[in-house]
Amino acid sequence: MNITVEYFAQARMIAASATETVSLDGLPTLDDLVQELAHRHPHLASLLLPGGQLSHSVLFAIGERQVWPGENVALNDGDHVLIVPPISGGER
Amino acid sequence: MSELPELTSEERATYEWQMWVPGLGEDGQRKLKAASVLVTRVGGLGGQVAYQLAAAGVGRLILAHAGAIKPSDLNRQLLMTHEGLGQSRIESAAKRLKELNPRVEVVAVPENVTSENVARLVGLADLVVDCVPLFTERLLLNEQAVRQNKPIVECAMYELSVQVTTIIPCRTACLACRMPEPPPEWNREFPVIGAVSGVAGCLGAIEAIKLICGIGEPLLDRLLTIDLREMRMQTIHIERNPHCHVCG
Repeated sequence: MNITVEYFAQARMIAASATETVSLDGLPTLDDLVQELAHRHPHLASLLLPGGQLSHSVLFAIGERQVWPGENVALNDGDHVLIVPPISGGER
Repeated sequence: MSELPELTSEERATYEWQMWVPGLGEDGQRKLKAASVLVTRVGGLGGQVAYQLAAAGVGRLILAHAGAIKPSDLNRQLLMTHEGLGQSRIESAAKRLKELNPRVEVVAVPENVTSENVARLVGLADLVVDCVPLFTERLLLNEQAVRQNKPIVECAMYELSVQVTTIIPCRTACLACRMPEPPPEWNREFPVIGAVSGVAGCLGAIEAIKLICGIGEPLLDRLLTIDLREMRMQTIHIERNPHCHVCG
């Protein structure tokens, strides 16, 4: 199945792209997708998978609905997954 | 409405155009005049929030920001000046706001948010606009605002990205619902263009004005994300975490 991934902020900079299409076999979950993204973009691993688990400070959404880490939500062909890292204000 | 302050003829003349906004009117302007808003840090984001709220006629702005103006502040911190390099940020901000609107009462606190001052700072305001760089400070503000039942507007930026949401304690998802702890990886120095912080700050100010005046639909349980590189805007539905250690 094909999943469209949309990156924001730091994730977008690391992936060097706003969107990406990922093909996954079988009955993949969100965790499987993120593992695949970390494989494609190794610098995403520490942002999205600290300690090997989905980050609790990154907002994952399918369509426009938040998905909680740990739910291990099943994906469907054509899903649009948003990856929204935490951002704040800035000052040296 | 009798408890709200009356407007002077000068104020009616100053705010005439925004009082034409449906739903705002003179009652909304009186609510703005009666309001106290805490803006934490008045750099790129918070400076824009404070500037817009002062222009809109918010009666009292509590500003919290430590430190002195640095050259690297000046691409986005519009309340700071080259002339003020090395001098107090908060004094520069207060001076610029009073030049814009001498009617606004500015409470200038030369401190950043800490566990020692957060209860006092939040207690001074009806509403908090969070513009700080550090997630430890953001989570402190969130926890205290929930404890004192004060709404919070969360503004953030990165590169050409913006995020804004509004929190009504114990009714909508708070910051700790979606971020129980500070993210393990966060670099407080990051790429950003001043106009991006301006967009985020203006959106935060709009949310604050809507909350104070009771107009429109604030970003409750919704995270607004904007990618200014592609000019894409979307809202993501976010939910309260029943296990949240702050509001759950």
